[in-house]
Amino acid sequence: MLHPGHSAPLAVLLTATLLVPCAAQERAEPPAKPPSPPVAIVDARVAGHEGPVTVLVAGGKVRAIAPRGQARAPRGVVVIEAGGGRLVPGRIDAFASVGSPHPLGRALDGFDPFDQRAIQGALASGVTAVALNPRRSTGSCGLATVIKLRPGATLGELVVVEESALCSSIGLGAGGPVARAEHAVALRKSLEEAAAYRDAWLDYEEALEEYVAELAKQPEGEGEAAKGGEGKPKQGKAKRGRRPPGKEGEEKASGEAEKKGEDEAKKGPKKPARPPVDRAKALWQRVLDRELPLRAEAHRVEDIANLLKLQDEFGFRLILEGATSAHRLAEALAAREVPVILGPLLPGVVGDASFPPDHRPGNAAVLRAAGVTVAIGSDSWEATPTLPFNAALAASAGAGAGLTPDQVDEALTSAPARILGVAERMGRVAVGFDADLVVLAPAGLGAERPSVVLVDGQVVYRREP
Amino acid sequence: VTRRALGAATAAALLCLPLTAGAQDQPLALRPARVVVSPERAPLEGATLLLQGGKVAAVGVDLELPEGTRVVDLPRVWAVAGFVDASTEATLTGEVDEVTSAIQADVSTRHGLDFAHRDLAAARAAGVTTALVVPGERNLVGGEATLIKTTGAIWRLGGGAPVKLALGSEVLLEGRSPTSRVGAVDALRRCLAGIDRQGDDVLAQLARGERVALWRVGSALDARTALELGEHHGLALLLQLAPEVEAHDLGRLPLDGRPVLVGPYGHGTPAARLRTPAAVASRGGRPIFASGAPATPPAGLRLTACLAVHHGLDAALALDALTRAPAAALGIGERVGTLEPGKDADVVLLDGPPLDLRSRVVAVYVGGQPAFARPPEERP
Repeated sequence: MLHPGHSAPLAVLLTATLLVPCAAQERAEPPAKPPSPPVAIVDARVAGHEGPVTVLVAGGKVRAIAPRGQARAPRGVVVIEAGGGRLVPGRIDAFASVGSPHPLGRALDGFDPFDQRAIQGALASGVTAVALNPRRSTGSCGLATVIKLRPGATLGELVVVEESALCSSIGLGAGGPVARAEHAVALRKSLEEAAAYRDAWLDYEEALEEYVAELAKQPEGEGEAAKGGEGKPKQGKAKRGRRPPGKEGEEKASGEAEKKGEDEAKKGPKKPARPPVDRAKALWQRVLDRELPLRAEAHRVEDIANLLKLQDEFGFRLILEGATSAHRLAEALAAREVPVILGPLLPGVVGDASFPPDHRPGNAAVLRAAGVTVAIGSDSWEATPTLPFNAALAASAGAGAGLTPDQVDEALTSAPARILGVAERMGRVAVGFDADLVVLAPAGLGAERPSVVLVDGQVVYRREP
Repeated sequence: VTRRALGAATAAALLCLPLTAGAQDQPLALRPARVVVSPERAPLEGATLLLQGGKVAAVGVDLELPEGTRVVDLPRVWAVAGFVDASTEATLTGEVDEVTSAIQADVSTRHGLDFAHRDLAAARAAGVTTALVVPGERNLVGGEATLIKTTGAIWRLGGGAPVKLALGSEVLLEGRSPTSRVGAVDALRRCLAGIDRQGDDVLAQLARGERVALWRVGSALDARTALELGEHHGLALLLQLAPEVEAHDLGRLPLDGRPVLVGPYGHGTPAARLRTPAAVASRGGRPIFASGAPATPPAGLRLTACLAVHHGLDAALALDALTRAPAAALGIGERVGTLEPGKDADVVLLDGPPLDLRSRVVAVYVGGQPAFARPPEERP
């Protein structure tokens, strides 16, 4: 790794870093991806580095960051002049709805990778990755997916995390406290059913193991039984096996076996019945097993509190979305390490009457101060291009207190990367991280616009002069 | 010093300012880090902005200050002229349009204004110091708009307040004529042709070009009609494009030197619409932003400007569209729109550059008097 302050002949070092890991990288990656030429972004300002730096990109990763003047780009490298502008990590829209809700649906299936206008619109705003979510209704709404935005790539090539979370919502469109309670009851029912489903399968698997073990123990006995009793005994076994599995049932069964002893031994071990497969319950089971986080959209304090109660009871990983009034429960969210993805704070949404009356744009700052990981999402894929503006309003909007400019950047980059479980490769401009980069050119009076955007080291957007 | 602490200090300093009328004559010298005197000039660094008698008395580096001047140092704060919102329905109570007939020349928003409305405080907090409160777009002639300072004063204009006209799908209502575009254009033609130009009524003043005709159009075709009719009848036309109008719709619309109201834009506005302000500028027009409040919050005015810059509008033109251009279009360019000496002391102070949405309005002056200061208790 190269750090600013090194004064070694860096051109040589850069060339070395360029060649060696690049070769390794190409071997590791699937052959479908065309290798992109190495890129050097010169005269850029990167957070955490003093003064302008040169950033070297190869094999889809950031390979080196060195102070300007100490590094010269090797030959054959595409040079991008940042002109003293900021170089920021590609922004991640942590909350972009697409497609309709379905208990077994996948947001990925509602995304058109060939809609170049939409993809270019997002890239032009410096958004390089998106967490696609199904639109919300109550109950399970399907699976979320994390993708990168690379024009011309197929859906498969875009996927970063295919099954990122199970999505749900609570309290959306609920007219009053009764409907609100019903939503909570429905969510609890889903979780309880999933728990019962998991138990049924665990019992089945345990019973199956025992069955196999017993079969192995008595090869002679089984042979006799098989020879002795065909037809009738088998049917009898099958009927008994249909009893719902459970520990009490097993104990009873073993008691019976002791009593009946010889009779059972003659018939041989009982093959346990396989519980029916239910894919919807299986998805919720993955939430219970903490394999998938539950992304739940909730806005009002009551709904968020209901979610936290359920989380305390069932122990699943929770990501809170929308979260208009989450600032009122900031401490509780921080204590449970529940990250929050705030919905849009833009005009036209904030004024919406369906939002709780205690909504305040400053809640990002309150949550952050309490220690909650806060990302900001656009709420829908159509609105993804307005994400950076939306997030900037978290600093300035309304009468509430806001985030600092650095915290706004974080809510669009490293925070969503952490929440989406990709923090080890995305959300930072750092050596070894994915080269999803945005060069921001100052347009005057504080306005910045992306002039060049890279995804996986490939230039995917260039602002026309 | 962190940005937040700085903002708090600024707010505290500004809250200490005397609010009584007796203090009005005491000169006040603001020393922000940067002063944007007018949009096309580079921001002045280390300048002093001297406010006296409700006006900008002087602005520059190393000013000689009159005796008894109160000096407020505002490090890292930007000062810009108060924003002019050229189309808002904020502060209006109840139904905005009188829809019993499509021509309502004698209706005035003045009679629907409520200066106690919370919209007004929200507008000041967003940096809006002057606003044109307009009728809606459901009438061909919607009536008289009202120009106000957001501290709650009605601005008496020599020629009379602007009159709102509209052409677009919104004017076609059930149970009332017109019911079609051709019918709407015909009704407008008849109305304009039938005006007694020697008269003393609102329409006569409109026809003589004494009052601005703020004409909202739903499409580029409607814009063409408005331009033709406006020219034919000698109207002082201020065109307003509905936010749905896309850049490529504009075609060869002749906009040379014309002020054109655009926006508001916000959450999810498609890029084709966001490029309209840049397209207006590239056709020689002068874009002006409408906030569309209260349907969208007044903070949407600056957001609209930022979105427009992101989609190709020059940054200086965007600030112009928030300040000087609307003032000029409404005929009050002598009074507001820049911080040049002699102008009203309508000043917005932000804790960063004005077109960085992360910057916050920390204080607002209207006529040299504090009109908004971000209270410290709103900070975490």
